[in-house]
Amino acid sequence: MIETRRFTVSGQGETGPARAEARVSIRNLSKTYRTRRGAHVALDNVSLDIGASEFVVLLGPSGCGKTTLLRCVAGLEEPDAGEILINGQLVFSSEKGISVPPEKRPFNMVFQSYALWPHMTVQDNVAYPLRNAGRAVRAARESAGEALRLVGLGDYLAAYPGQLSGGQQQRVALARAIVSGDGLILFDEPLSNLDAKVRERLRLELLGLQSRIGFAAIYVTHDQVEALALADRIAVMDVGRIEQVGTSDEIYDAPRSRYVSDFVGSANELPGRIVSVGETVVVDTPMGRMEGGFGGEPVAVGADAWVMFRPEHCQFDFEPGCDGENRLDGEVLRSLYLGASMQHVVGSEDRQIVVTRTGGGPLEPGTDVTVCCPVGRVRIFPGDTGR
Amino acid sequence: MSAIDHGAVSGTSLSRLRARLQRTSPFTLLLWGVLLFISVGLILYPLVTALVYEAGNVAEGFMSLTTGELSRRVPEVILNTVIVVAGATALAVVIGSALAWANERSDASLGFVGQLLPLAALIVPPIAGVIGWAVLLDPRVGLLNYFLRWLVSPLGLGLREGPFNIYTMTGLIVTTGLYTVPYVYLVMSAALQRLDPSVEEASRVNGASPLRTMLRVTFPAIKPALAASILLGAISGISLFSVPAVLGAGARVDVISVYIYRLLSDYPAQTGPALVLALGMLIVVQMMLIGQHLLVKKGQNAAISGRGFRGTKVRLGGFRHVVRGLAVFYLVLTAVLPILGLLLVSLQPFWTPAINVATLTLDNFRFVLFENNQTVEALRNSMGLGVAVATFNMLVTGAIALHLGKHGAARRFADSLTGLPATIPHTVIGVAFILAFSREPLRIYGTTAILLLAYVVMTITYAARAAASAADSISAELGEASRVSKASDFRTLWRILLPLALPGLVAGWIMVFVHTVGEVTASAFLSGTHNPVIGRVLLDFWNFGNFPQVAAMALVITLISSTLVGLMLFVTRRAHKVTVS
Repeated sequence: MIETRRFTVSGQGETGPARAEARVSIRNLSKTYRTRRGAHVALDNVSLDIGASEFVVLLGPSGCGKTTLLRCVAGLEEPDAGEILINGQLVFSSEKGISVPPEKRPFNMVFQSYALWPHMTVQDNVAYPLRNAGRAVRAARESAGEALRLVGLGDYLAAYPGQLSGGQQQRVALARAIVSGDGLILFDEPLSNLDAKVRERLRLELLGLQSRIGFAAIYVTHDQVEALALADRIAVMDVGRIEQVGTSDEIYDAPRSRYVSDFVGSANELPGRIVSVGETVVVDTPMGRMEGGFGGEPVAVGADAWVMFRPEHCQFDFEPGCDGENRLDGEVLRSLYLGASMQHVVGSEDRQIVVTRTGGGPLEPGTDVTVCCPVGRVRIFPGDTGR
Repeated sequence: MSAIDHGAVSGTSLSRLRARLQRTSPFTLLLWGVLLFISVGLILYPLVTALVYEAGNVAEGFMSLTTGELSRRVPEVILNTVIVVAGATALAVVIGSALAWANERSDASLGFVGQLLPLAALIVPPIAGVIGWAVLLDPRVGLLNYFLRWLVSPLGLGLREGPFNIYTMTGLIVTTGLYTVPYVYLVMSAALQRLDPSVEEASRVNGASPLRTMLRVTFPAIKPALAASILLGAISGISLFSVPAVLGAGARVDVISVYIYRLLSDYPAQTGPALVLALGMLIVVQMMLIGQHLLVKKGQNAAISGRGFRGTKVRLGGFRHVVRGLAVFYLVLTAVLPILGLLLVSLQPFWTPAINVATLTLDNFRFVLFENNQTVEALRNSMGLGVAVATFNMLVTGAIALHLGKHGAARRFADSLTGLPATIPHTVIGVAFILAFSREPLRIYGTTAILLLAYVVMTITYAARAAASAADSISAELGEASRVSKASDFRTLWRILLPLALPGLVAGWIMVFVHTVGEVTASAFLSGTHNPVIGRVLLDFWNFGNFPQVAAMALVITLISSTLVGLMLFVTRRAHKVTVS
């Protein structure tokens, strides 16, 4: 098993003013599903703060609890323990027995299936939250029209959702979420039903909209590319816990655990044993000696460790700029053409690494090559290597 | 996934339950109140009250049934019931599953006929169908018999009677079976729809013949459904009243439901034996349910998941015309012929097989619809009750299905409450209602109120099933999207869920209405001269021998039913189009 540490946000720098500014504060949330087959921990003492107009992405594989966390904030599900504050107001507290129903919480939500009401026109769909808030029909429709123009659907006010494409439907859902101006929007994998092209365009539009209107967002996805592109901060989740919270580049370049390193982006992974710990850490691996820095907890000389580095940080020694200490010898097994880049698989039958290069052609299988990787890019994680 | 300490969980669950109760909306409480009223007030209360007040008579009745004066008749009655139920169920299961298989798995797909098949018992209410068949196959004056005699007359046989006689055990079995087929068909074709045909294709690929595949793969996979349909057939057969009430007297075959009715309606009423027999009926049905539960273990119906499978159909070749012909023939038997018979008799001044075009008249319809107080009032009562019962039941079950969501313990509990009446034979409900509601504090026997309550109980399972299928087709996210848009529970229900479920709810409403209007069992027990309803008046007129008037009235309710069922088909088809587009 992978050794992981529990990540807690509460600590230094989280007291006083910082806390008051938060749009959403999640404190020690836990939830367990009881099924006939036993108990499944969906949330295990999770804490997280979301700033007033911050875009936070919950990233993780299916079943990691990210959707449960989102639905707990929404009030669509009830945690077993913990507290949730929205705009400084307690909306859930297991201790005080508070659970504000979703319709009384200040937020809106975009669903994976768009969840547009097929019996209402696009305009009425968007006007619905305003009508519920007590706005007059005409005023609500007018605001709905404005919101729809904002997402580029000004010409479709009288259409029914069934007449629109998937991308257009999700735009309507977006308009419905922003129209009431709650300042907080929850996104439950909103782009996962769409084609890749539409997904990319909507991603950009979503960011544009957020910078124009300035809402806080909690965005659930299992797509790491989407997470990296959208997030002010990413919270990477694993079976009910937040593994790491940080900006996109922190998560990508400085993963704090093997799990995060492996889940976000792709990573080469080599087992090894620590040889020396000084300014840098030196590890012996089956493909050669490697030097890098600790990603998580430091460990002593002689301990098992995993060495991780990203394919695009690797180079071949016949290219310029390859002068680092980490030199791994191997044989080219195959080269994969990926359009914008080329993926080379290097190593032996039982141990391989991947080198991604932009430009350059395929290499002849069987060619002996030397791969190098800068010391600063190599991260070493303690852990059982099974040797 | 990891296991957690169960003790810690249950420690907080009590306080959480209390907190949840405090947060429950008034609307939810109202729904539970109504459910409680139906299950406790309309099922438990009548049964318990009847038992408590008749406690003395029960012991006496038991004695009289086992060793007393009734003991000579009772074994015969029970044996008759067993024969009729077993025969009719067997017939219905064979015909129903064969038609279901043909429609779902062979290239003889039945199209529109296949859609009509499960509705046959709704299009023609069984009471009308039975009367229609009696009119056709009466040994002496049956229209079909007369026609057949005329056909064979050149052979010089000189038949005076027959060739068929419906007033026999066989007539009873076949007619009962005919009107049980739709239930079997519905259950079986639903099971076949859920069974992934690739399981069968795998069998074919591995070298099994279609017949072997059907016997070794398809059949075992849908065995639970088969057991369910046998049970359904048996339960409805045991409590079926209309067929034996119309045919039984002529055939001198008493079955238990009619016998109980006789015990209560003859003077002096023998409430003790009637209650004992009704309870016995209830116990038998409950034991069958338990037996089914034990026999069909969970997880046996594997590979049943998802929807919209498209498998290759079994080729029947020329045989498929035969199959299609059989399906059409079934509809002719259940609907066309009885209606034709009713029509011919209703247009005559008196029932004769020799039709004289010159004497045809609409007088019987005028009599039934406008002139006779009993029939006019019965029609009005039945229609009014149908509207009230259907509206009430669909509102309640619709609100439950939509409001309580698709999953969760609350919905499961509600479903088991609304499903309860389906496991209680209508005769039992009738007996319990008579005994419980003809004394203080609720002396409502002889009023339309008692009929209303009985119909509500008897049709709520149909209503709940229709509402559930309408509600469960709506994605949960549509309701959640409304809640996060600041809509209250009630507003979500009213503005979002109800409009989306409406076609399904309308279909359910029609079904409940048609069942109520054509209901005979409880009507026979609970209706009288002060609160006449169609079912009761039909039986009375039949027993008095007012055949043309009976035929006219049976035709009237058939017309109402079939029109509404047509409307139902139209509504559900349209709804399907809207969601697909």
